[in-house]
Amino acid sequence: MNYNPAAMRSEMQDTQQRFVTFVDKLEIKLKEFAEASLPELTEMNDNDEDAYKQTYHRMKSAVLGQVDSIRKKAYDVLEEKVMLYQVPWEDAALRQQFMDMRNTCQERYTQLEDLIQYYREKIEETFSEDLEAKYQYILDEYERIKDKFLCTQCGGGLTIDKIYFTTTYIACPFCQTQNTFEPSSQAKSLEHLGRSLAEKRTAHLLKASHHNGQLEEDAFRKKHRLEMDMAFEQNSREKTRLAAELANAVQHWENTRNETIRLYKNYLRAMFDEWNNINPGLTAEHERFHERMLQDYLDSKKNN
Amino acid sequence: MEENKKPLSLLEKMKQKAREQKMYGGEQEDKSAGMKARDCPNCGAGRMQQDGLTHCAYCGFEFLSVTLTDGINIKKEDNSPQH
Amino acid sequence: MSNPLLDPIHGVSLYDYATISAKMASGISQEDLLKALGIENAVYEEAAALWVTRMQEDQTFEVITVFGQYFGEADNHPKLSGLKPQTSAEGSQNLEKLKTDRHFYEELSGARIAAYEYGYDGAQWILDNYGITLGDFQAVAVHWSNVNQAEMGADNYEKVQYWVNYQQQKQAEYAQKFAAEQGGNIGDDVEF
Ligand SMILES: [Zn+2]
Repeated sequence: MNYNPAAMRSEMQDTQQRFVTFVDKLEIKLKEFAEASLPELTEMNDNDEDAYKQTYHRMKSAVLGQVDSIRKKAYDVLEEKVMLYQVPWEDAALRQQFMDMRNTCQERYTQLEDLIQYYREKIEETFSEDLEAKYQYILDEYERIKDKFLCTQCGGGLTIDKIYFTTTYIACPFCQTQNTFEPSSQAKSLEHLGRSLAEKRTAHLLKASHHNGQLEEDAFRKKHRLEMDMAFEQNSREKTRLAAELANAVQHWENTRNETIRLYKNYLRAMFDEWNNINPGLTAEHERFHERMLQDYLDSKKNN
Repeated sequence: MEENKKPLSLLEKMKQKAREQKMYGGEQEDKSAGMKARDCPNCGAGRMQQDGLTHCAYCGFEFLSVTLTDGINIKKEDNSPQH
Repeated sequence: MSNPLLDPIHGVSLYDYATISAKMASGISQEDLLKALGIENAVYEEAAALWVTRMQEDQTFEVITVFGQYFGEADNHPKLSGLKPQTSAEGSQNLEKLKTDRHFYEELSGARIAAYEYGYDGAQWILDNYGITLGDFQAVAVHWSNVNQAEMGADNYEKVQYWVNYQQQKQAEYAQKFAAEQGGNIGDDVEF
């Protein structure tokens, strides 16, 4: 391969410099755009009349698309100008410079990705919905309509004895005619809404379990480090001391792990209790789902 | 100043587009609760609780072409007696 | 060994439920579908709610997997196959092409992703531009996903990778088109 080392050196230097500046400028554009879009999205979320907030969701999707266009632009240049740059591999100095350039640019790109991730989360956070208010609407509606309907056959009063979330047959107590009661769109969402609301109401319990999971990971790392130390220790007295320390660490890890599991079980139980409370009609089905989620969780704990 | 105008004008365009788009399947309208009854379309008889939900007790017209199982509120007992 | 979680609910089989879901996503009314099946709302709504709970309690994912397969076979359902969405002649042609021409399928899949990134409702965009409904599109997606699975199963990674790249390339092309329509992307002024 014919090459000019001096030219390549300055070319790589130039590329590295330009890439860093390029990403700096992209970041400015990103910040400008994202900061301007956040209040707009919040406003659209709050004022979207439609129950599914379609306008807001389309806008959010487009904003995320623009944010990602910045990442793609940086990535394409990183790949084309940096990663695929050809150096004569036998030239150790050039090879080293190439690897330095690659690391510097890769690092700058990773920083950009972190910033993009930060804004993605901010953008997602503009979404909010008042689940409690939606549930309250269903409760209030029920109070309003439970004695309002009359039998279509004899005109006798019909009582809606509970909140129905599917269409159902209600027999007239006077003439025994089967009337068909169709709940409102809001009431039909009760099962689905119930889960979201139950998860929201018990989110602090799930967080507690996750938090303990972090402690469990720390305990695991400590145990692992001691195991390594033990394996390489030659001195038998030191080995005995380490063994005792390791036994403690194992005990501590197991305790922390059991606590994480206990906290998760606690969360799951509370969540399903809330859900059952909101939509008791499917309690038996929820319970089987509870079993399944618990089993999935315990299985995942077995594998690590 | 020119620098600042671009993202804002783009945002405005995006907002406009988001508002103008129609949603797949059209807007879902909220419906309120309702009550109705279905008489036998064949003989005009009403549908009585004791006769079950699946067939007309008078002429045998099939209201439902299925055999009901134990569901949420509808149960096996809601099948009409065999003729 | 049959799985009791696959048993019909109120006589509504998983095939019935999947077909109704697919047909409704193609714009056919629930009323017409239930009439053809000979059931009323009350029966269907209970069955539908309970099919969801079956999926939730099924640790093996069998219910959801079979649901997906049936979704792809909605057009063969003995009682419901006759209910088809009103589509243009062009739409029917495009749908046939989507089933047989994988390049076309991957192109539209890429276009749909790009459409969402530029604030369009991707499903509506496909309907507006190609006359293909979401239900039909998803049913065809099941077919190509099976083909893909088979390729992976046969360790034909070259082929798998080819289609991934092709879709990405098409996505990028449509993204460029959508960007031009809205007056560019936010980073356009920045040059390397
Ligand atoms: Zn009759």
